[in-house]
Amino acid sequence: MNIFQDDINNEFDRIKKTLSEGNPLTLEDLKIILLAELNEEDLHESKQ
Amino acid sequence: MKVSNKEACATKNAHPTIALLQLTRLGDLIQTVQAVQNFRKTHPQYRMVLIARSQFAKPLNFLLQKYFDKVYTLDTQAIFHDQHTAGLSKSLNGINVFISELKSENIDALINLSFSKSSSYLASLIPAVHKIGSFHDFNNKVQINDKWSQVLYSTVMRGSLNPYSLVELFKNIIGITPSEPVVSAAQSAMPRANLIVVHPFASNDRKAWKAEKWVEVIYKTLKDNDKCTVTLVGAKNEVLKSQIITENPLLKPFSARLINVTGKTSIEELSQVVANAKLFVGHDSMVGHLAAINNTPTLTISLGNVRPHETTPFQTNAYNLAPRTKCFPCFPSDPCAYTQCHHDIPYQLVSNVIKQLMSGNEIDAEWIKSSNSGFHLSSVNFYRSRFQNGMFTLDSLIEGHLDVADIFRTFYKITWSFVINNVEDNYPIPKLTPNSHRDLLDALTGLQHLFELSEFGQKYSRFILEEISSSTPSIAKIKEFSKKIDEIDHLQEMVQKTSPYLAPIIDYFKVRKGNLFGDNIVKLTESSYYCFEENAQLTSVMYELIQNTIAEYKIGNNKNSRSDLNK
Repeated sequence: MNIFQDDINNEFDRIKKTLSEGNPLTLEDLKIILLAELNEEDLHESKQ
Repeated sequence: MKVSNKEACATKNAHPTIALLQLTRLGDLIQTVQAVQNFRKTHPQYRMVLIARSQFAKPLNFLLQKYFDKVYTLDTQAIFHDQHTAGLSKSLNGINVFISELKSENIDALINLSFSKSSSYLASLIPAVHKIGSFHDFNNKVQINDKWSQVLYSTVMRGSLNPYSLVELFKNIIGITPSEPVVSAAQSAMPRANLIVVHPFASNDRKAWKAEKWVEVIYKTLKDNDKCTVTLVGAKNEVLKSQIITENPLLKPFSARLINVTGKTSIEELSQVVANAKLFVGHDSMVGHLAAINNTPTLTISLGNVRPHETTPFQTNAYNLAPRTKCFPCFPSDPCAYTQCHHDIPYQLVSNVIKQLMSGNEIDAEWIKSSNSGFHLSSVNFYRSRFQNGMFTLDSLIEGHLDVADIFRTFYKITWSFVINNVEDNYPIPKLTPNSHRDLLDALTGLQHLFELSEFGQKYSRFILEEISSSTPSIAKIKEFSKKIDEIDHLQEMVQKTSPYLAPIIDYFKVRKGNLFGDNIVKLTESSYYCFEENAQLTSVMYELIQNTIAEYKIGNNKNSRSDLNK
């Protein structure tokens, strides 16, 4: 079980909905996307 | 909608703060240092801070502290610690702490040099009066408002036609005048050991030769240079690979002069080892940049997705051997079963070059021709770096051979400098072959199309502005003109398919069009007009350069045919 990944997936569903409805993101949304990106880069880095 | 900078301190600081955001790897961090090396001396009134990832910045702290007033490190290991059980809230807290630290810095200009998605999102969260480089807006769209970042975004890693070294691009983005790196008297007077530092590894397999080839190079080098020592360097995860080389039976007789420190040095210690050497030899990696910062001569073997013009160590007399393989340089995602480019650089040539450099002799076109087999030269490009008016330049050392890509890179260098910086660069007119002549003729046709499309773009942008300012603006007409502009944008992309050497102009145009200024139709249309105008200027400059080159080629051909007739 990975609570972080579950949280990210839920937040991403919400963010996608926000954007599809034509609404702007918030600073909190940008922070969540940033964390997801950093996490992905770290995983990629650890494979190298 | 754009990210608000309201939180940033708008009051004027006595020492305005420039923050460089560089989240990518060690090599990029060293190149960032090279970009700002002279800046501290020439602009002491600025406070310069760096924002980097902990895992890359900490090992380089010995270097970074010389050039930055403060280094903020983003420690993702701490941020993601216990993520499986602690979830998102703990990581969010970590990011909030980091951003509030940066908030207290009152940044005047935030310059994002890393162009990764994470750096772009981080740039949108850091309060700053001005933002340069990419950042995301609240509609999740990438914003790049300065021209040099747009050039970087549209050319680097998009093909092989970027003419600039990354250090030079960083300088242009920051606004630093191009200049040669200053070598201190102490640095040039420093005695060097009869030592060659070899880093035979790279961040991925397609960028590095297999061990056997390095064994051949090291064997020949130790055999030919009986007083020199070879030191193998590398990271902890490269220890096994280094042992495959050192334990090869061919190298056993030389074990006293082959030292393996792979995985045994910190980067600071590695920097000292490189600083003490007469030569560094290796693939494109952080160690080459570390050598350049220590003024140690370098020989780089570029393979796979490495672009020599972007990453050759930023110093005078940096040598770079690159294959002429058709698919070189590739993209990391391209499938590659055979790594033909690895076979196209002969180890004999590398050993010969090392011998020549270790004997303190110059390498020039004459030596290359007279001292190396034509077979070994037929599949390589060989470059040497120099500075021309402060600009980093790679000259081809193989007489009579100039790739079409080399010719276009020179043209792009002249074109970007002229259009963006209003600076005229002078380079000799390249000599064409029948093949490159044909490619240039194709490009002329493409440029004609691009120029016409830019003229149409300006015309329809003007029509929209005229319609808006009329007493009874027609929405239908405005829509019709906008549709025409969309068609023009689409047609530009079609030109790219038939004239691939024009890709940088077309890609740059796309990035420019995607970042128009303004929050209403008038301002956006004006911005679109200027974008087409600039595109017309770019195509005109490029057209003139190609035309002049072709004219020179024709004059040369006529002279030759006349002298043939006289024979």
